[in-house]
Amino acid sequence: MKPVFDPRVKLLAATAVSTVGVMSTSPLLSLVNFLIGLIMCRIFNVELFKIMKKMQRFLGVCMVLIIIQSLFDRSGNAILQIGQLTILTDIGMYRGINYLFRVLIILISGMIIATSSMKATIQGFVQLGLPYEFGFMAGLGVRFLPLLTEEIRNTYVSMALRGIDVNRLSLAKRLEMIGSLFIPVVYATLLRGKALAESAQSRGFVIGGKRSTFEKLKFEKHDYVGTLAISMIFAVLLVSERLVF
Amino acid sequence: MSYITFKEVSYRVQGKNLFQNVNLALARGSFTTLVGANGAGKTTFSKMIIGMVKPSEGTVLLDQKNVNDYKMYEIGNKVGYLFQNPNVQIFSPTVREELGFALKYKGIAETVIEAKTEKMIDRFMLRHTLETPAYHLSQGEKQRLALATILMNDPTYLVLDEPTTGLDQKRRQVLSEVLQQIHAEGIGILLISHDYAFIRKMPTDVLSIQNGGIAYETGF
Ligand SMILES: Nc1ncnc2c1ncn2[C@@H]1O[C@H](COP(=O)(O)OP(=O)(O)OP(=O)(O)O)[C@@H](O)[C@H]1O
Ligand SMILES: [Mg+2]
Repeated sequence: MKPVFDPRVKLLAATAVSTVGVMSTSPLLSLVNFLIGLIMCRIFNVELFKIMKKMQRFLGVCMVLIIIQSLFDRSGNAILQIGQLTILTDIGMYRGINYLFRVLIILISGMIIATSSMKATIQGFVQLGLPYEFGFMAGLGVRFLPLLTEEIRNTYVSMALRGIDVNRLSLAKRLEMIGSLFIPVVYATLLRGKALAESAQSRGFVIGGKRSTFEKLKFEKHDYVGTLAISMIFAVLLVSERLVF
Repeated sequence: MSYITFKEVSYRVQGKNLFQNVNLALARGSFTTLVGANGAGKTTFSKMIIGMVKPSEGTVLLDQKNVNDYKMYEIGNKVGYLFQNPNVQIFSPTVREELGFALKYKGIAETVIEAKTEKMIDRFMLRHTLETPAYHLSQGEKQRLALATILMNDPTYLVLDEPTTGLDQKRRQVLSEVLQQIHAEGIGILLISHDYAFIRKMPTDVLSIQNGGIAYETGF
């Protein structure tokens, strides 16, 4: 029987793959990250094919947009030409592929989180020592992760623009700096969740208060192994030099 | 000499032509304000300067070189960019750490960082915020902190996306004075703003985005 993972492990996994996905400017890194995302889907029992089927139309539209975007991108060298007319350039293709992976990885993160119930996800936050309201906000915010990609992009560009050449930093410093990225990302997620929670409350939904508590989550051995493995894999990906910096 | 140059730049998004063959040169040390309706493309335009948005056609030059040929950190050492939403650019738990962030990683001496930090704290009226976690600062305080942090890097050019959002009358006045000082020090500024009352007080050229083109406005 496959182990069922703690929602906190899934949150970590989703944050990790979506961060790398959004930050990567290299198709190779995006591909590797995407493959890792797929492996995670297996491990976390995401019913990938079922969901893909449901989202067929949406995915189709995405593909078309990406192809069009690649075709219109005029930078770089031509790789497909008809007479004088350049159809596709190398950079256009790279960007298209990169964009595709970015969309897919955000979807995958959402699916991974959604394999735990909202209640369990919130309970996960609560057991991290955070108040229920916070868990509720984050639970909601996390579901809006896809909407946050633009903000995440702004965040990492803003860090890159601080003018620090990360390749000249020691590994420890690099990790420390990249770790700081999570502060605004998490904060933006929470803010979004908070706005939603407030609007839910204003419509009469009572957050916290007396409600039957979900049974306590417990970190099992496989949860510890999972956490360790995810942390290690993404530490390596994040310091690979092909990042946006 | 032109520091930021747009050459025949067009930009399309979702079938819409946001920009069409834009040519523009912003000189080193110039002070320019960009106005335009919501959704006109002001933010998009400013992101092309730092290479974050790539033109569909044409090129953007920064300091005579194609912006795509720089690494992001190299751009950051030339241009300070203030995002429309200051929440995305605060990385540290305290105001002091935030101000010293880049210099710390660049290996600048502690004492130098401290002296510079103290100056910025006074210049941007942040002293009363020193005990507050950076995330609990008000919108206007965050905006000022973000701008102060950018200036710690001694940029040649500043791009500010609606910095008056969330500032009260007094803070607007202070910002206006700070921008004029910065300009007097020889730092170039591209200001994005709808706030005509704010713009009018300053020695700035005004550019406006209309129907996919960009043109200087007269009568300021
Ligand atoms: N990544 C994107 N995908 C789709 N549409 C986009 C994207 N980025 C910008 N747009 C569209 O381009 C237009 C210009 O956006 P932009 O943010 O540059 O406007 P703005 O002038 O800064 O507006 P505001 O005054 O509200 O800040 C908008 O219609 C926006 O919806
Ligand atoms: Mg804008």
